Parts: sequence; C-alpha cells; structure tokens
Amino acid sequence: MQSVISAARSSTKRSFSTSARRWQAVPQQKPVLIKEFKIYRWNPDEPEKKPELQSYKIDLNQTGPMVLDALIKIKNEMDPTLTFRRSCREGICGSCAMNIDGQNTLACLCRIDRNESKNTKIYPLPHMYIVKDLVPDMTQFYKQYKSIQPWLQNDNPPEKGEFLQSPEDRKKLDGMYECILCACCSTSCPSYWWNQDEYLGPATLMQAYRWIADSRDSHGAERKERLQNEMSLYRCHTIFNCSRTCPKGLNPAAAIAKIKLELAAD
Amino acid sequence: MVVVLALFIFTDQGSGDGHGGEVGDYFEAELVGERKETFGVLPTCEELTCAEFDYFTRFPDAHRDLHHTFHCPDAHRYCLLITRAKMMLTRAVGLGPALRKVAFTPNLTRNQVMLRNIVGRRSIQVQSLPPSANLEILNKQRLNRPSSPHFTIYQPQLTWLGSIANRVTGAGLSVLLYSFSIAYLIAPGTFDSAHVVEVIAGLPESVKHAGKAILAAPFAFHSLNGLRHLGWDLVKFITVKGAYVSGYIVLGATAVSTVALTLWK
Repeated sequence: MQSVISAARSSTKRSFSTSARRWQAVPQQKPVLIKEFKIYRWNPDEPEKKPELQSYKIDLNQTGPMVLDALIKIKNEMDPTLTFRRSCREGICGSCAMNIDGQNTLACLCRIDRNESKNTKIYPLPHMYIVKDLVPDMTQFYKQYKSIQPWLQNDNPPEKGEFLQSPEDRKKLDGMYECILCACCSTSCPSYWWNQDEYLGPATLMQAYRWIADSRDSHGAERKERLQNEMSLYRCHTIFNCSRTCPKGLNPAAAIAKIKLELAAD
Repeated sequence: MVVVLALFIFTDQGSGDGHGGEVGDYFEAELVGERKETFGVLPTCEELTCAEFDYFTRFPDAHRDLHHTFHCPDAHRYCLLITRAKMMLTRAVGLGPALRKVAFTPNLTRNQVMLRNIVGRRSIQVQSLPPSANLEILNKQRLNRPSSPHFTIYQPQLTWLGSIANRVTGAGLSVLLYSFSIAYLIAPGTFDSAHVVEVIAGLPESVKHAGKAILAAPFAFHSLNGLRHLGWDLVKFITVKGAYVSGYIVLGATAVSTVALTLWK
C-alpha cells in the first residue's frame, strides 16, 4: 500500500514537469544489429523431406546475450515450430546441448558472436538420430549410462551412521561428480561417432571412473572387469575432443586415461 | 472458481454422447471416455470435485503426484492438455458468462442441444488411439530419423585433426613397409638394397629431396606424436592445455626433423 501511494505521488510530480523537460526524456535507441542464424531443421511429420538449414535474422540489440536467448526469441516471435530442448538456462540441466558454430556446447552458456558479417550455424549434437530439429534421441546415451551401474555399491555398509571418507579420497571425485550428462563430450568424439553401439563414450566412462575412484564403493573390481574388452573402453584413442568441448570444463580424457592405467596395472 | 465449476458441468453434458466432430464430444467421448476405460479407477480432472480441481490447478505438483500414484505419469500431461484446451476454448469464445449462467440453472435446462448452440459447431477430427499404440508410432518414427551431420560440420581443431593425421601417417607408413617387404619376398632380385640404391642414385637431385621430404614428414610426425600418446597413457600432461602445448611442440619438432632428415646425406 505504501508503495502504491508513493508511486502515485511520484507520478503526480512528473505530470507537473515542464513540457520541455518531457521532450528530453527520449528512450535510448540502440542501433539495429542484424545477425543471421542458420538452424538445422527436420520435421518428423514430413520424413521424406531432407534436413536443411533454415535462416533467421534477428536484431541482437533486442536479444539476450546467449544463443539460447536467440533461439527462444526466434521461437517466440518468428517461428513457433522451431524445436529444441531447454530448461534451466544456466548450464546445470544440460538440456540445451547442441552444436554451435562447429562446437558442442550448451546454448545457454554460449555467447552470441556479435560479428554481424558472419552467420551462426546451429546443428543438433553430431551423429545422433534426430527426433525433430535440434532434439536428438538420447535413448542410447542414457542406456549406456545405466549400464555402468551409476550408484554406490558396497557389501559391507558401516554398522552405524554413514560411509566415512577422508578429504583426500573425497577430492578424487572433484571434476567428475559435476558432470551434468549433457552428452556434449560423447557426441564430439569421433570414436563415439563410428562405434556408438558398443563404445561407451567419454561421459559414461568418466562416470564409470567416478564410481571406481570412490573410496566408499567396494565393487571397483567388477566395474573394471565390465570395461575389460575391446569396445567399451579401448575405442578411446585420446583424441581430446571431449575435454576440449566440455561446457562445464571437466576432463573426461583424464578419467579415461586413469581407467586405462588402472586396468593395465591390474 | 465459478468458471471452473461451469467447465465441469459443460463437459458433463458430453458424456455418453456419440463420436468426434464436435467440441463437447471431443473431450468426453474421445479422450475421457477412453481414458476411463483404459485406466479404470484413475480420477481424471473431469472426475474430480470442484474443490479438488481448484486445488490441483493451483498446485500442479500435487496434480502430478496424483497420477504418479496410479503409476501413469503420462496421464498427467494428457490431463493437463485437456484442461488447458478447455480453458482456452472457453476464454477464446467468451463463454465465461454464458457457462456461468448455465452452471447455476437447474439440471433440466442444461441439455446437450443448448450447449451445442452456445459453442457453435466446429469440425475437429480426432483419431482415437490406445496408449499401447505408443511404441508402434515411436518405432515407425525411429525408422525415419536422420542422423545429424558430424565431421563435416565440426570445427577443425588440433585435437581431432592431429588424431586423424596420426592415423593416416601410421597407415601410410605401414602400407609402405608391408608392400616393400612383400615385394622383396616376391621378387628379391628387383627389390634388394643394391638395386634400390642404384635406382635412387640415378634420380635427379630435386626428386631425391622431394621423395625424402615425403617420407620424412609422416615418419617424424608419427614417431613424435607416438611419444605424446605414451605420455598420455601414463596420465602425463592430460589436460586440454597439455594436449595443445604438446600438440604444437610435436608439430614444430616434426617440421624441424623433416627439414633435417631431408637435408641429411
């Protein structure tokens, strides 16, 4: 109520100001900055039509700073049929993972390149089956994650209270538990492109190591045994696309190298 | 609240009626009726009391939980869709007041014909499918799904181009080694050292240098990059920065070694 009254007061004040002063209060006009976005489109309702790049031109000065803002603007104002996943818009859900200007990243963490002479190309995550437009089918990816049994397994739980862990042991999990499973790394990996059906890929392998490295987990031997074959782990050729592209700055390549070393030392 | 109440009564009118083609029928016969059949006891939005419905629209989580209780999370989305469609419909046509009036009139006057006149005839064609058809539709779509583009659109980076170069040089050198060895086995007279030396000695200087460079570059790169890989296998410099620094060092060292090997007499 207070604020209503004060708002009313201030508006009364303003109405008494001179007309000359009012004329000066011109809203700041930002120059128009048109940028072209070329976005991969494919519609399951027209399966015979080949996927294509569709061009959208938007004013960057009327758009938020991130690529996700541009996508949402396009969807809201130009083409409601444009389809993509998004949720948290702050890089913690991993929904908006896509290939922007040739690199896999989260649209919500990727700034728009403000160079208007160059267009920005947006593709879905590479070498994935496409449900629609920028939405890839993640079924296989999630199945692979499930296959490494990503939960704590210990046959001898402490008699009282919780599992205890030294600060040093806890530190081993840093840089691995933060993974949000956006699949940017796995779908940037050429090995994963060619052997998606059998090779687990960097995201899943890093999570496998996250449980192998956990001092509270006692099933490390079985976990390693499951990776001890030609395809699951050893299709990694240390290409480094995974660590290079990770939008969270994690290092799956290092985790995989550590698994390899542990398997070799067994 | 009153609108909500009206909505219920509005849809109640459609129950037990025939098939598609009209709004009232659309909600009742096609969706709700079928859902009743399929899920049995699952309360739909339509079956809730007004108070319950009001609660659930204000607390969607509780609404969802309701469906989860009956082990049918899909039903939640379904249910919300119907509800939303109804709300939009009433708002769009401006039926609020009319329905409110209908809501408070005695039961006898609330008949199907009257409601249809209010709503007006619309042709909405609805195909009715049981939830079990889900997988079939999904599989049909899966067959059509394209695979998204990969190496043609991925940004050229030292990481994966270096890896490809390592492969190509390795394969090239192996092919050379094996073909030369096999050739020697087949025709030892033509491919022994003395003969090879003789042939090469007869070539002009420029061809000799070019040939040496072509052999030296992949050999140097593959060997030096191999050391980089051995380092990684020992979990050394296995960071993005380490990969780039070591990558550029390998490229520089390759250039130097290629020149050195080419000029080496």
